[in-house]
Amino acid sequence: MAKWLTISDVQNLLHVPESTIQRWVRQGNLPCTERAGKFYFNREILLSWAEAKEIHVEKKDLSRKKPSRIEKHKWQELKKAMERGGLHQLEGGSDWKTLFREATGLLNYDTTIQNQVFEQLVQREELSSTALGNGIAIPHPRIPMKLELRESLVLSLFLNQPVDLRAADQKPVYSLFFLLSCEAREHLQFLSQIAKVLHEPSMPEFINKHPNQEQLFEQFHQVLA
Amino acid sequence: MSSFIKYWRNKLNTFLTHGVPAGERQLLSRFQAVSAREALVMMTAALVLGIAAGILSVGLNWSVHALREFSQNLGAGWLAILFPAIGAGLAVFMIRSMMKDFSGHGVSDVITAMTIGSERLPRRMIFSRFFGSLFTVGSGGSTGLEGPIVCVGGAVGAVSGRWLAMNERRRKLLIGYGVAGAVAGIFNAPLTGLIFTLEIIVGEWSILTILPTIISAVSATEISRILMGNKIAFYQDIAGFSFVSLVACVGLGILTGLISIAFVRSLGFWENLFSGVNKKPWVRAATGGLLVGLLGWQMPEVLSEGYDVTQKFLLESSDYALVFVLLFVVLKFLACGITLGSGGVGGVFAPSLVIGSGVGLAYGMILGKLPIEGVAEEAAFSLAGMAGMVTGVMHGPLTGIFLVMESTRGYSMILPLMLTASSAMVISSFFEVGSVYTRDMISKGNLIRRGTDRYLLHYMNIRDILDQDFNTVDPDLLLRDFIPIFQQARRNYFPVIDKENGSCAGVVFLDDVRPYLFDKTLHELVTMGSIMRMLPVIRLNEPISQALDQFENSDAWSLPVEEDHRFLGMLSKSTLFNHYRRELQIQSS
Repeated sequence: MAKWLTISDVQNLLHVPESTIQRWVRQGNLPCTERAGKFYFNREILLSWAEAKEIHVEKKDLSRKKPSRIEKHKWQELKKAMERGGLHQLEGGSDWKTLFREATGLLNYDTTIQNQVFEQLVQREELSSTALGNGIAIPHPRIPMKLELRESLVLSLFLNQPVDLRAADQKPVYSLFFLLSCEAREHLQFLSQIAKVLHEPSMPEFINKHPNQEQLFEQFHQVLA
Repeated sequence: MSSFIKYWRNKLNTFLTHGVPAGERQLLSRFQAVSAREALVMMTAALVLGIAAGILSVGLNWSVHALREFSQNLGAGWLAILFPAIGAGLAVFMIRSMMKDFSGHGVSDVITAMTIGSERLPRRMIFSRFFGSLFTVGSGGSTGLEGPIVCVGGAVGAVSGRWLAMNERRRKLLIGYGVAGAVAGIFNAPLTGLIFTLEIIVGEWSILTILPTIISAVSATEISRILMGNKIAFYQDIAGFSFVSLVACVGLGILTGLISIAFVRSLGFWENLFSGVNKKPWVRAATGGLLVGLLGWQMPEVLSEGYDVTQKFLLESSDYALVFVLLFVVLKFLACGITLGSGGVGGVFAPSLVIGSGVGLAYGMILGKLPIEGVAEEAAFSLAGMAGMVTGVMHGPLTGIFLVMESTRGYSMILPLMLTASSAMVISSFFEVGSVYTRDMISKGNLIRRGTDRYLLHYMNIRDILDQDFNTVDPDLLLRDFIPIFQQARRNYFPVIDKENGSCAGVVFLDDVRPYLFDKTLHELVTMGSIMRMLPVIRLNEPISQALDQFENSDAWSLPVEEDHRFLGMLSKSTLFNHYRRELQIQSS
């Protein structure tokens, strides 16, 4: 990390506006050097100064960027999550818990995390059905934040034999989209996007054709973009 | 008796709190009249405290000298080695086992009481410190009476504050007055009492700290003069001070600064060493006393306070050889460290003065041997060395300057004293964050001065400023059922409470949910548990400064607060700021 910090570095470090920092420098409250009309701050001295004054300093990277806001109608993020989860074809026909167990087995995580995910999915499912109707369901964990997942992902699953998920319209479920996202806003967005696509009238017919991933993406793209 | 006390307590309270007749006065000037009443009451209290502290300090000084003379005239021969051991052992046994006084080193106890609470100075401390130092120093222990008498004076102040049912702020003021009286009385030096109290003990300069402290210092000094005569601690006959010598004082300041750091650190060293000797404190003290006795056998001058030696350094410096002076400094340095480190009751005031006078004298002698024109006499450097050493040890340049100037009536020496003291202070503060009294407190984060950020935060109670006007939700609540809750909510966040243990699982923010609130397809799918945010939780028993760090780490505006994993409420930055500002207005004078 640089030895000499500029005003904007200090701004990120102390979380105060630039004008405040300039005033502190003028008032002689901040240790700094002036070179060619610009102010430079010795990193070590500034940090020890903050320590002595018990001022909180951002300990992470100096040029930390805030997470960018997710835009509601873009579906690139969802596409990446679906790519991470992948598209799988299973025999099905069992009860839903066995299917969930099979599905979590497909995750690219070790068994402890797979078990955690399974537990959470079952807890949520027992609370109320995640089936949307028309043979489609979006199972998700009860409290996603408790899971130790690296990235959010959507696992798409098509079944040869349906399972009963106690859907409101009594129809058995042929396709499931497992949504695992640890961030509140993102969870809501993905859920809303998937639900929107699956509610399209043409959707049951499309899914019956067992499309591959590209075709699935194409369908999502048409609805969302 | 008790009804008599109650009557006067009530009288006093009425006088202090009841309104002043309104008449034509403005509100502000009415408040001034109330403040003037308070100042009057505090000055009267300071007068009485000053007299009491004066009598106590004269009493202690007199009894120590009597005991010292008695033990010297006993003609015990080599058995005199045992005297310091007996004295220190007896003193510590008495304090710990009989009086159950387990606190620290005198002056630091008073500073702790000033910052944390006056209950840190209980009544038994008056007796334990008085007799403890009497036995330790009277038997030859190499330390001073000032630390203990400061403690005694402070305890007298604290006790009378409690006795008069005064509030905490006034009790702390009374502690300061007691300390000023004690210091002024023992040195026959009113200014020193005032300066020491304000600079080292109170750390705050205002009407209520300065004026009554002056009264206390004056009355204690007068009592001491009536009882003991107008004697001063050290006599000197220094003719003058040249420019060359003034420059040389900077060097002396640096030297004493370094030695004072070594001295302060050696105390910690000896304490560590002796803590391994024996579990019983009085055995440790007696062991230390024995070592001091052996040193005293070699050189009797290192025993007891050592003011008589300093006196001789000042008036008859030509009687001493450089080697003797250097040896004296080294042995005194060791003897003081051992006495205090082994748990003996005493202060660092006297040792600093005596070691400083030795260092200064040696410095003067060496300067005199160099081929430089117009160097002042050695005794003058001895005086400057005292100021430098006191400053370095106590981190109080004003105390160092005024103490030496006043106790030697040497105003003509003010320039060298100021120069030495300030250069010693520079060196000392380069190596140590605080004085011998405060360095441990600072490193533990316990030094909480009035009016500082830490003080304000320390006394703010999180529980009292929690927000409660929000709706909590269950993690399994569906979005559909959330809508009616949100419609009547006053805040835009909803803590999610775990049903099983009542802890806060997370917080749902309206901003996150708002775009999807009326998306009907989601009503049955979304539960609160899946859309809440995990926030760092503030524990009620953690320091509030840590809570503030959590705010800065998480960018959140309000955070959940829990006690024993039970959710209590939300702490918001804006509420915190309101209370902080109010607290600042109240606390700043």
